[in-house]
Amino acid sequence: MFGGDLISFGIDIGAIVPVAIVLILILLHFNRVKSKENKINSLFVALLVTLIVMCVVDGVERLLNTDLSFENELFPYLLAVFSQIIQSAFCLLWLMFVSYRLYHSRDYITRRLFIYALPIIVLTLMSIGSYLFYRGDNSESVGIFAVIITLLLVLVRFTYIIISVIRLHQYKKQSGDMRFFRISYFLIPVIVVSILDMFSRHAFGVAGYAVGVSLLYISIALEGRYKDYTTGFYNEKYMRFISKLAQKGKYPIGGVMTFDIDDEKAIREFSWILRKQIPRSCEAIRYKPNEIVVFTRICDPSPLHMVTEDVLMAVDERNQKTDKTPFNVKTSYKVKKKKETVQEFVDRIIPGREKQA
Amino acid sequence: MNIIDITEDNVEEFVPLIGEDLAEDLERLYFHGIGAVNDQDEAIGALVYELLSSEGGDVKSFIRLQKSDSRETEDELQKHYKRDAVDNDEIEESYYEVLDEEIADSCEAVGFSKEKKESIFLRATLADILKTKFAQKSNVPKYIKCLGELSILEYRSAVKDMLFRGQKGIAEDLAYLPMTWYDKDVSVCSTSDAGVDGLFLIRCMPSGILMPVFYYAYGPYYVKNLAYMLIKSIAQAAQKYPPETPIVICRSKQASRDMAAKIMPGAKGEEVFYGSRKEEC
Repeated sequence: MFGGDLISFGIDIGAIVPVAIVLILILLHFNRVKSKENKINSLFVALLVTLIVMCVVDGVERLLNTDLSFENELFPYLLAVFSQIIQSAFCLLWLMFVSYRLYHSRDYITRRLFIYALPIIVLTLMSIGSYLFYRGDNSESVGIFAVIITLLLVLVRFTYIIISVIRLHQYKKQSGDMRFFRISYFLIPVIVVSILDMFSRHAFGVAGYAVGVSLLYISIALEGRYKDYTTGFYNEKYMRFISKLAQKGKYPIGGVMTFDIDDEKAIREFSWILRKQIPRSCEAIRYKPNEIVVFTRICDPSPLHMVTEDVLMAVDERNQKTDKTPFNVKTSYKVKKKKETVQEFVDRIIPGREKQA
Repeated sequence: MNIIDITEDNVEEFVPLIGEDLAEDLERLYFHGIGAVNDQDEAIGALVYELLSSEGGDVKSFIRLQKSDSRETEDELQKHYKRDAVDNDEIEESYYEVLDEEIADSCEAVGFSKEKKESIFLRATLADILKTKFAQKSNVPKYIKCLGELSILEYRSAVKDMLFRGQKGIAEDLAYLPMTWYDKDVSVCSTSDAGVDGLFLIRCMPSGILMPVFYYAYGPYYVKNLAYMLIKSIAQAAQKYPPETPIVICRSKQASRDMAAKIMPGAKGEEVFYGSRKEEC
């Protein structure tokens, strides 16, 4: 029934089944904790679901022992091709995930989605077409063609991953953002397993992707440690974390804005107002129950002045338009002086930082 | 002769000397003017300078104009500039560019260097721009919009975003310039669901000169978007202004130098006298 070597089959299934179980558990856990309005969550779920489908397809393919060779049956052939296509689709999803995670824009994905998906579509149609054309006629030709298509799909996959790296590099260059996103968490296992795959008869590819996604999930979960769930901003722990980084010269801080609210109960509402006024490149931290500080990389006071003015106007507008209890906000901002080091600046803006750390 | 600060109240009297464009610029935060008046309170000389911050955080002063009826007035203006302006504004370096060699000589006499150099201002007409490759194209995506299609809030949010990315074009006071300061039909922007990701802001000066002030885009497709913004802006300008409309590109920042090289590759500015002086404040 299994057609191939039983030990080899055991190794393949032994790799696939635990991976699928881990992925399902992550999916269940993620669905429980995620906030539904966040698009990045949907993309992460799509990555997980694609991986689970990959596991199932890989498992069935191992079961039927189809290795893209000279089978004359439609189903195993399509299954093998589908396995390759779904791996490529996963890498395309990964590229979309990176893009959304960096830029928070669906438009950036949709504007080029067709162009990016085109190689997969063309190769899928070619593989089906080749099978139908040569079926029953010249099965060897089908096999050779299938190998070529597989190699092209591997190339497409690597291209997506390379583009994702380029995109991250471009983003960092444009914005100087140093935030948590660790693309290497995903890439290292994928690259290692891809190399292993080349020298082995076993399909470890899915395991590599799964390890990558799991590590990514852990990094996302770790980020939660630094979140203040009332405001959605970072918490005081994060302040300590980045001030340590800044001390080591690993985190560029150029300026800080402080927002002091006279009514602690209004902090959540104020956080919505503030979110609309600060650019994404800023990092907002709920430092005290009624105080939010925002770090910026630039040390030009004029944009900081602009933001504090806009925030005050927005609060004023809110107080006038609503029947709710009005609240007031005290704002201030400081920028790093020309001859001051980041270290000195951090000490100046966070008094008693040493004690807290 | 009296030396006075040129302010909103007396700027009208200096318009014949400094021109309407600089007179309007003097209302801006980083533009300052020193004027000389005779005993009848008639304007006889003016020195207008713009404060610029360098990447290292130093304050530089670009002397945009020096004009006077005599060498004596000019010396007085320079003395006043050195004594008060340099100290008050913590200027670390001053520089100028002028066409008139006499003015350059008088600057040299007060410690400025003097050399012949290509002007940072690149002058052209709309007709010149319409000959470029960007004017031959017309297809731009719908997400490239005219500035007038943005709300004030969207505009402010876009400017904030650019400023926090360390971009302010050639306007040090970009944060304080209202949307109405730009030509809303010729200025364009690139938009996405995440907000405005590219701005090409063009000012129509009181004299009718068009001057690009800000040109920057970010995001994965920023190169294309920069080109699209240029194409759209040129098309809009062609509809609104006659071909002889002057266009001046101030190449004081890298972004504007890149833009000038893109629009008019190989174009050269006028030859001017340039000089600089390290200030001790």
